Amino acid sequence: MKYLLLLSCLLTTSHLFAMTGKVPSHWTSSEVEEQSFMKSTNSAQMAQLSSAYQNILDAKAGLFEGAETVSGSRWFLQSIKTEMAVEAEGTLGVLGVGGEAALELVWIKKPANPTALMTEVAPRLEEETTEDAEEIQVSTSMSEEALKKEIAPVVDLAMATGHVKKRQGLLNNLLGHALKFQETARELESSPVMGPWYVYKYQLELYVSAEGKIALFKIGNAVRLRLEWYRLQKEGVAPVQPPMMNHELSANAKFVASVASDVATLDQVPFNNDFRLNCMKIGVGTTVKGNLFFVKSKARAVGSLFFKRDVQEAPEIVPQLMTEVSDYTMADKDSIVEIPRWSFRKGLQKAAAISRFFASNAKIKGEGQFELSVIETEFELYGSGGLGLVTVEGAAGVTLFVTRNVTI
Amino acid sequence: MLKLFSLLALFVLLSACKNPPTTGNYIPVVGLDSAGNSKLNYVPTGAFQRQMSPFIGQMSHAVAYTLDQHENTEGMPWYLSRVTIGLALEAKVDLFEIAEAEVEGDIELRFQKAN
Repeated sequence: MKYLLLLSCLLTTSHLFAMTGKVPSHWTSSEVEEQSFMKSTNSAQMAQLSSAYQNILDAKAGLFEGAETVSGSRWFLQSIKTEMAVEAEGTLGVLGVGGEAALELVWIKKPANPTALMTEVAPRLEEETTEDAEEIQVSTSMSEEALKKEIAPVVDLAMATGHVKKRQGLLNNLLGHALKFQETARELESSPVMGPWYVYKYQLELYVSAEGKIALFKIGNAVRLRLEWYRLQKEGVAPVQPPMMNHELSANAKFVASVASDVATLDQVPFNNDFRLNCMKIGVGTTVKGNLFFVKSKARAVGSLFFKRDVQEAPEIVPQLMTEVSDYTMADKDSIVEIPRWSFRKGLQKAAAISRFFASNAKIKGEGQFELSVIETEFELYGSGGLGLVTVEGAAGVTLFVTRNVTI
Repeated sequence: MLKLFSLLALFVLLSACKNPPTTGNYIPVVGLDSAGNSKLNYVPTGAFQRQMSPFIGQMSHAVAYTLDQHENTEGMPWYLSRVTIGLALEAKVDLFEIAEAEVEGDIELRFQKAN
């Protein structure tokens, strides 16, 4: 009788032992073996994770129901950004205080009138995801005078703080950084586009101290600035430039052309639910000579390179590899490591498959509701070249943007 | 035998408290402790929604109303078109609350001016 009682007690409380939603261990490691990923997608653990993820999404979506715009207001709540994180043991949850987010989710309100979808311009990814900073737009065709004009308002802003005394000194310092940045932008612009993916944006963060000093890392109450370069938008199918000899390209042009052709491996992972994987961001550092390299952590990166997919439909052009490049350089704390390129490519495929999981579980919402439209999945880049979903204790260096109803 | 039963029952209860199921009534909250180590709390879904939903609703109304009072000066080259507000949330044992401003937050509201 006692055994029966004990058994029934265990059975009735067995749901309390139910596993929390944990991501498979190889998601948060450098493992690149595809077989184990495919195997895990059918496991009970994945069902549990899917259920837990859905539970969090539903709870978050429930928060926005009261966020209605006041009738007649010229201002409206356009979007809401929330974050999720993965604990060291793999549990997926809402991001509390501190730590690295694994997922940044942007919920955008669908127009209440379905016909408005046809006439309104879809929200832009830039506007929904970019962190605020004073931006200095730099194009490769700008003269030094034009650069000075672009920088002047930012210098005025720094002067307005009352702490910066030497306007000319700050202007010269900023101009020096801008000219160097422009040089790198020229190299990026000369990189050949050999497939649907190409580098379209380069950002460099600068911090101006109250004394007018410029640093590449955050210092005290510094004014945050951002140098930004965009490659011109291209219409229609992916442009194919005449092939260039490898020795004609700069190190930076080779770097971004190689990464762009690696990113094309993401296209082998199909997405559903109207989502598309069409943007990737990597954290980069620069050598004294201005050569770009991978940086393990966003926090240690001084710049960001953004890659986008240029075509709407499946690519018809098979990306050619920059065969000359077999390794990438990555800075990890105090050491520099060479990561095998093949491993990076395998890692990207795994990362795309992980992003696909999060997109597949996002519900489609009705008109007038906030719908999950952008999923930024953050990955840690390992010394082996592999990629793993970042944990709250980790350091993200690569971001995949999966979007729907958003223009890039 | 009774002792064994009591011990097992206690174990069940302790396990349930430490590791509640996520599907349904609890939401895991992941963060870092002061030593930089990963920490995991659980908040009841109901409490999460009861506290946060009205707050976000009131916040969105208040911000939209305040921005509506802002009039752009005619002829000025710059105008306010977009406002982003970050909410910092801290997970306590069973509730969320607005934390210190410098603490990273979970929710960011972006307001846009209608054309």
